[in-house]
Amino acid sequence: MSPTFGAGLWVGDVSLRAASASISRLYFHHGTIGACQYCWWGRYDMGAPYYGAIFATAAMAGGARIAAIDSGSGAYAVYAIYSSAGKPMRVALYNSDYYAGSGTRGSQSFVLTGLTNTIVTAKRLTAASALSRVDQGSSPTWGGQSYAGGTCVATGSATLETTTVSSGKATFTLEASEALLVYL
Amino acid sequence: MGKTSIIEACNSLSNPPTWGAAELIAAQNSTALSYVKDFSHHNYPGGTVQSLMSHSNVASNMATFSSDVAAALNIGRQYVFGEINSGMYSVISIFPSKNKKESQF
Repeated sequence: MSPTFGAGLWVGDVSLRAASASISRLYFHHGTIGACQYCWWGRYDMGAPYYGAIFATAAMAGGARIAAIDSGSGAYAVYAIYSSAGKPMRVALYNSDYYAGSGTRGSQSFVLTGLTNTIVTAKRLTAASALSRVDQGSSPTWGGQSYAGGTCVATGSATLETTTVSSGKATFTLEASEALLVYL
Repeated sequence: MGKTSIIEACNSLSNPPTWGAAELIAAQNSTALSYVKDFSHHNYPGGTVQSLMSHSNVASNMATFSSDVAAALNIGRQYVFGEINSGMYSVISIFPSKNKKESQF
């Protein structure tokens, strides 16, 4: 379980949920590099959990407050991150439906309302499935990029998605086992 | 020593409310508490990939700590997870991995 993309999605979600619950810091336990499945990187490869960490970091960077918008009873998560002036900066979306790599991959629409922008950009965290493992040749991507083993250097073209806001409303579609960071 | 607010206090072998900040706060006097900078707990949910990544499971896992977080904040201390990760390190060999490249991790 630990080196999979699903564990990476958990890292992202639990970090944002903990911050929303007024928990000040999370120390992700690491073990001996090379013998540690839940570590964020190994001797040769990045680990899928790293991608969840970078998602949560990107969501909260420079923010002053975070709020969990969803009740927590369902499979879909929404977090709003606010500046010190109380302005919404970003919204993190997560579709935790499990996709193991076979059959039809479901999706869920998230609708944000009350937006003042005309377009918004977003960065997607995805992988072939929740079971994707970097050491088995299937790396997640964050905004189209992955991180090279041994160096952590971002590789591939960075991709920002743009979504048109209509009457203050924008719709985002997340496939099962995906997360999206919307920049307001 | 002459310094207070230097200890991260943690009793992590059971989840709140059995063990946690609230129990430590109740057990210590104000002199002892003056040395406590923050309270910590450990959190290793374990399970399968599907149960781990489930958002409702994440939310309910976090809810088990909410009153303990409140107890720490109530006396002006931060609450942290001094250790957190997906599964227990000590049972890592049970994780499904027959891949010959496993040694890369």
